[in-house]
This record gives sequence, C-alpha cells and structure tokens, in this order.
Amino acid sequence: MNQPRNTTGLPAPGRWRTAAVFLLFVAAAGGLAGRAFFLQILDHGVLTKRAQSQYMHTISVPANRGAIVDRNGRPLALSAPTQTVWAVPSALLKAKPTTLTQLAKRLKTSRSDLKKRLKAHQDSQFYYLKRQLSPFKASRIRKLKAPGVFFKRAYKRFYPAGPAAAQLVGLTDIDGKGVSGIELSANQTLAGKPGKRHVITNRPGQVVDELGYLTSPQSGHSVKLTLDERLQTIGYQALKQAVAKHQATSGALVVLNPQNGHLLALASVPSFNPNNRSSIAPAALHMRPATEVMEPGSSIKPILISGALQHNLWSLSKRIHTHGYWRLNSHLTIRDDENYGTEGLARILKKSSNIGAAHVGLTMGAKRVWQDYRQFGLGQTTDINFPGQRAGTLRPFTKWNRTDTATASYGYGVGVTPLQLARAYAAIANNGILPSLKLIEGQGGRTRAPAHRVISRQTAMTMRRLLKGVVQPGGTAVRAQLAHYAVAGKTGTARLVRNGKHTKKAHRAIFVGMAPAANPALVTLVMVNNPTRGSYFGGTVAAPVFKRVMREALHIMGVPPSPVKLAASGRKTVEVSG
Amino acid sequence: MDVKSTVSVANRPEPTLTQRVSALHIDLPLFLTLLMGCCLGLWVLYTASGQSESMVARQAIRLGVGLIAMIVIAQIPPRWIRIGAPWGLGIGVILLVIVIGLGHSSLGARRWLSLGVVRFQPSEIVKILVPLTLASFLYARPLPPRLFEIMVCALLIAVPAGLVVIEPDFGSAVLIAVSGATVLFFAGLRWRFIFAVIALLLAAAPVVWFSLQNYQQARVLTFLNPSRAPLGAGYHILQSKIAIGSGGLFGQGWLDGSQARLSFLPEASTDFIFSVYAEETGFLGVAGMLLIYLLILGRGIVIALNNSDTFERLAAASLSVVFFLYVFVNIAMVSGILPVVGVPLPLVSYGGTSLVTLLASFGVLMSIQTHRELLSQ
Repeated sequence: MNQPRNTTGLPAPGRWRTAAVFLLFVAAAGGLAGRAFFLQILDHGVLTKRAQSQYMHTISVPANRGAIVDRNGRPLALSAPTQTVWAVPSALLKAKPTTLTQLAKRLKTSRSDLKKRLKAHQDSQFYYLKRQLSPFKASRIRKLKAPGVFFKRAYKRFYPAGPAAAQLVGLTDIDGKGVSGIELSANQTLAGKPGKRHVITNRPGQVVDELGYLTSPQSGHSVKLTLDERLQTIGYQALKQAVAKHQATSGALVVLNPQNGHLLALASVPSFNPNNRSSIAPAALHMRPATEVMEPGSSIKPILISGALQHNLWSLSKRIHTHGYWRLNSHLTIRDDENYGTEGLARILKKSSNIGAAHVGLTMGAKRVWQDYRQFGLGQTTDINFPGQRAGTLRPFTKWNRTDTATASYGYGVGVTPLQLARAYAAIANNGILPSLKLIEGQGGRTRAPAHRVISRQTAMTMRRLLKGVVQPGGTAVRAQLAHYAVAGKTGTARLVRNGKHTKKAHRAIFVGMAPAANPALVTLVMVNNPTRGSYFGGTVAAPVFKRVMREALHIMGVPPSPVKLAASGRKTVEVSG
Repeated sequence: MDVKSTVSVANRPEPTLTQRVSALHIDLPLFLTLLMGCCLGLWVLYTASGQSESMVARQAIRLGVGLIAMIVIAQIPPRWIRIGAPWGLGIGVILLVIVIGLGHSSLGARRWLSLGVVRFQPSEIVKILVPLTLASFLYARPLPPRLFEIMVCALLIAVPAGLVVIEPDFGSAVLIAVSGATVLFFAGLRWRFIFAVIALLLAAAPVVWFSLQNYQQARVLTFLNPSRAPLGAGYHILQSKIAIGSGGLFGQGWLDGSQARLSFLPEASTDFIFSVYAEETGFLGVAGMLLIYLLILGRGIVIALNNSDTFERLAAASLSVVFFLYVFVNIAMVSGILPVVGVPLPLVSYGGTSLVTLLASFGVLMSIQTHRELLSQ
C-alpha cells in the first residue's frame, strides 16, 4: 500500500476514453431500446398475428356417427362417445399427493406407477393417460381438477350383433369412415358433419387449450335395415354349425319376405368379430349372399319348369322315359343318380332328374330358357346397393349350343348369386310377382327393377304344389320338412370347378325353400360350399339348416301354422285355424 | 455523490450506512443494482423454464455461491489481485489444455471440466483473468504502451483465446480477445495501432471465414438472411423476434407469454431468455432491464474514473465494459441485430459458471472501490 502510485501522466487519454466508451454504451443501450420499440410497438401487430397463426388453430371435431339398426330398432352398429384423457406430465407431477392418489385409483393403477410413467415422459408435453374411457369415468376424473390433465372427445364403434352380421354391417376405418358393408354404402347418411373448434396448440402440435366451438358437430342419421337381428343370428349360428359339422369351406344364407322383398337375414360363413379386429382372415370379409357367384345346379330346375308351364311348352301330364343316362352327343352324357324310369314334371322335381330337366330345356329351346332365366333376374345385380355385389353370368343364348342348353337346364354354365336365386324363388312364393329386394328401410322410389309379374298366379301355385313333393318321402329333401308348416323347396348339389373342370370330388350343397307352401311368408336359401365330411348333398347338408332356421323364423315372425296333412309320416292332421 | 462525501468528511463523527457497508468492502450501489438484476433473473427464469422450481432453486444456489465469491474477493486488496492474476491465468490456461485433452480422449463435453460434484467451464474463468492479467502487466509500465508491451499483451490474449477456439467455442474466444483489447484501449493504445489492428482483422476476415465450423458459417449466413432456413437456424431468431414483438408496450403478463410456454421459442431459459422476458413484460420491462444494466455499467465506470492506479483503473473499466458488452451482444442477437453467437444474458440466463465468474469480477470492482476509500482515509 505504500508503493508509489503509477500516475505517470496518463489520466488524460484513459479517462477520456473510458467516458467515451460509457457514452457509446449508453447510446448502444438506446439502440437496443430502439430495436425493442421497433419490434414491440411498430411491428407489434404483425408479430402478434404471426404468433397466433402459430398456436391458434381450427380443428375438426368428430360428429357422432349414426347407428345401424334392424327392423325392430335393435342396434347392429352404434357409436359410443368415449373420452381420451391426456396430461402434460410436468404439470401433473406438481399435483397434490392426494389428488395423484385419487387419479391413479380412477385410472386403475397405483400412484407410484403413475408417477413413474409421468416421470418417464417428463420432457414431453403430451402423454395419454387413458383412451376410450366411458364418459362417466371421465367425468369422475374431471372432478379431481388435477393440474395438466386434459380431455378429448372420441367415438368408439360397437357391433352388438358381432360375427353374425359382420360382413353385412361392415366396418369403419380409424377415422370413423365406412369402408365396407352398410357402413360404406350408407356412409353419407351415417357420417354426420364434423364441427370446428378453436384451439391453442404447442409447437409439437398438441392441443393445450380450447377456445370454443366455431360450429358444433352434427350427428349422423341412423340407418334402419329390413333385417331382423334375431333371424340373422339364428341363421348365422345354424349355418356356422353346418359348415363346421361337414368341414365345409364356407356358406351363405338368405331369408327374405317374398311379398315385399324385405331381406330378413343375410349370413355368411366364415365370419369375424367386428369388435376385435386384431386378426381378420380375407375369406371372412365376403358377404357371400351378394358377392359369391355360383352354379346353382338342380336348384335352377323350378325356374326352368315355371317357364315351361307358363308358356305351355310342357304339360303336367306329359311324360318321358329315362334310362338313368342320356348320351346327348359325343361331348355330353347326362346322368341321373339312378334310373327313374318314366316321369313327369312332379317326379322330375322330386327326384331332381337331370335327364328330365334337359328334355324340358331342349324342348323350350335356348332362347326361351335364357329369356325365362333373365325374367327371373338371374345374372343381374339385385336392387340392393351393396358394395361388391356381383351380377353373375348368363351368357347370351345366341352363343348356346345344344349342350349348353341342356346343361343350363340343370344349372351348369350359369352363374348366379344366392340373392338372385332366392329372389327368383320369391316370385314363385309371391304368386308370380318377382319382388324388388330391399335391405334399407325408407329407401323407396329409385329401384332398378320394380316388382313385376314373371309367371301367372296359377303357374306359381302349381309350382309350389310340385315343390311340396320334394320334401315328401321319396323326395330329395325330406329333412327340410317342418312339423307345423307345409314346405315347398328344391335341392341342388352342384359339382365345383377345380382346375377348369367340374370334379366329382367337391360339391356345393344348396336348398331353397318356402313356407307355408299355400301362402309363403318366408323364402330361405342355404348354400354350403365343399362339405367334406359325412354327406355333401343339398338334401342332407343344406336342408337341415333350412329346417332349423325356418322353424324358429316362422315362429318369430308370427306366421300361423298351416293345416298340414302329414300323410306319409302317419301323423294326425293338424288343424289350426288362422 | 456518496464517494466524494465520504472523502470530504475528515473528522468523521458517525459512520454512515455506506461507511459501515464499506467496512465489509461492499460497494452498496453496485451491490443493490446487481441484486436487482439477479432477482429479475430468477423471476424470469421461473417462467422461461416452464415453471420449473428445481431449475430456479439450482440457479438460486449458484447465485448464492456467486455472491459469496463476490464478497470474499471484495476483501482481497487490489494489490494482491494484481499480483495473483497472472498466476490465475496460468492455471486457467492449464485447465483449458486439460479440457481439450479430455475432450479429445473422451467424447462429449469439450467445454466442461468436472471436479467431482462441480462442473465448470474454464473458458468462463479465463474471460475475467485475461483483462486482469493485462492490467497487471501494464501496471508500472510507461503508458501508452509501446510495441513491446503490445506484443506481450497480444501473446497473453492469443494463447487462451486460441485454446478456446480449439474447444471449439468461437464466441467465447472473440469475447476473450475483446476483453483484452479493451484493456489496451483504455491504457491509451495509440490510434495508429488501433487502425493497424482493424486493418489486419479485415484482411484476415476471409481466412477466419474458411476456418469456421460449418454451423458457425451457417449462423452468419442465417443472420444475413433469416428466411434462408425458416425451420433451421433461422427459426430461432424468427421465433425470438415474434416473442419480443408479441410483448407490445405492457407485455402479456408474467407466465402468460405464449412463445415460450408453447415451446416455440428454443433455448428459452438460456440464450433466448431475454425474448421470454420481453414477451411477458413488454417494452416497459425491456426499458427497465436496460436501465438496471446501465446503472451497473455506470457504477463500474465511476469506480474506474475515481482511480488513478493503472491496474485498478484498467481492470475496473475493462470488466465493466466486458459485462455490458455481453448484455449488448445477447440482446442484439435475440432481437436480430447480430448473428446468433451463443452468449448468455448476464445475471439472467440459466447457467452456473458464467454467473459465478461474473459476480466474482464484480467482487474485484468492489475490492478496488472499497480499498481505495480506506486508503484515502
């Protein structure tokens, strides 16, 4: 401290410069203030708008999707509102321990576990606590008023009928848009209109605050089907069991009201559980009644014979001699299962004689056969607007040769969907008028082919009388017979095509029938593909399914039993007044 | 001014508050303004850190350490500091070499040195030791400095600055060089040398440019044209300007600034903390903060002007000027006047070493001021 001070004449430039630098810095601070003034006062508006454009957004709010219900209002598909609960972890971690304990309890976890999860996502601004929570449970969590906990509305689609109507009802995608079945075809009605909402989002784009609605979402309308959920379930179960019992690959079932064309059941096997989509086999997605094109085999014979009778090309009394086989030409030898001898129309149907049918067809000629099939709607899409519905194949008669006409008479070389075939039978059931099919109620008006007469009432009644014989002893489908209702129907056992050729080793079993025969209330078609265990005939595989379904369906639909005379079985006549 | 009044009272009947505090070697005006700045810093940090109490607590602890360091250093007579500074710089340079060595052998932390529980950046300590060493060297030498003194000073600057460049931390190196240069400038460096150095720098500019790292080149280019990369480097400066501008005259209110809260603003608690503050307190808040910084600077300048001792004068002026230079560079950077160079805002930005060394340097200023008064009594 006693050292001489270094004061060797320098104060002047040093002091001067120090003061100058100070003044320079005061000016610099002024410059910074000026810059702040420029940004905060002059550019305030522009920069504030830019800030808002970054964090204020309009987002779409999902609308409640309409339900799909059956003819009695039972739900087949419905959207349940759910709540998604999410949190800003760092904010929630500051909650009071009691709040956190309560929250953990309502999330069905422990506080330590919840804390661990939140801590693991502490740096994130967004963490799902629970998705698809019921509104009730969400409201219980809301009441806790935990900091940093937010809610988002969502919808979950439920399918109460499960696999029974899975392909028919269809599915929605992750955005709630219909992608198959009725969900797709009626999407516009079901969808509704999403609303718009003002929100504040952070940089990662997560909603952190809500400012309110611009427009509220408009719920979609529900769609009512002509379907009866009870019949659908019964039909599906019976079909599924038959497919399993006979180790078949697939099957289809149609139940319809022939008088108005309302479809009451449309089942398809294999199926899937629409409420659990983790694994859906492609084969399970087909709505076979509408999408499968099949050769109907003998089940086409009633259509053929209806036409022959209607046009007086064959009479009830006319008889032909069969010998079990008929060598038509070098390409085709037609065979029956056994030699049925001399037979008329009744016996041709009852025994399902191919030779007899070929005689009828060849007598009618290619043009007539083709026209009648066409009249009955074969080879044309039906009126229901179902996604993926197929038209089938009915080649123009001008390309038919004698062989083609003969085989077409017993159901080969013609491709139809189960729906088309069921509708053709409905004309016979409906006293000659081919109904227009309907799946969605209230969608009247614009039909491709309104109901129209294809055969006379007399012809239709005659046909039903002939078809009753099929289920009588000696016929091919005694197993379709019902105790309290007279049944009319026809079997079909068609050979499947393998490697471009019909094979004796794989078959399709079909039965189409109606009851009560005098005034049919229901037409039911059962088709089972490639039954490999036990029997493979329409009369042994498909007919029992028909019986099981019809027995319950007629009861459910409140159809009065017929005064049936079950002479052959030796039972007493059942007289029940309608 | 209180300084003069203290000096003028010869018979000293009763010690004033200033005198009592001076006995603790605390310069009250400097202490109070610094305390205001620090409290403001903690207040802003709470919102800028996303209301993280743990971060605020950590920063408060550093602040306490810094204040203790400041008071401890204030007790040391300036003469000891003058003698000790060169040794300190020597240790600092060795630490820098160690950091670079570790940085090369292990990967990751190149700028940090870990001493058990405490981690710090040697470059921050070097930042205050370089001007002190230069002032110490120029003490007792004829001023203005001649070529020999200039060459020695240049070497004292170049060695630590060069090491910091190797780290690499170009921004800190520039600030070390500038802090050394201010000492020479206040020592009365002749204008012809000043112009020569400026000319030399301009000539060297292209060489420096090509020796810069890619990210450093990108920063300069982005500064020259912010829309060049709106989501890359330019994004930071754009978001910062939006934040400052959103503040308006009165600000959006504490904890209500949208830019930081919604994570649009990067580095909100460190380099860009000023933007958070500006958004929430508006133009008035900015003006108030600048005023606090100017008061601190002003007090430092007064301390420098009140001393005729070469070391004390040069050290006080240089440390004050470097302090404000940081303030200026940071605010200019976040408001888009200068390129982004990664300089924290003194007293406010989250970070340990810079806060402690900064307060330590103010301890030096207090030592200079209070010991001078005792001497004059």
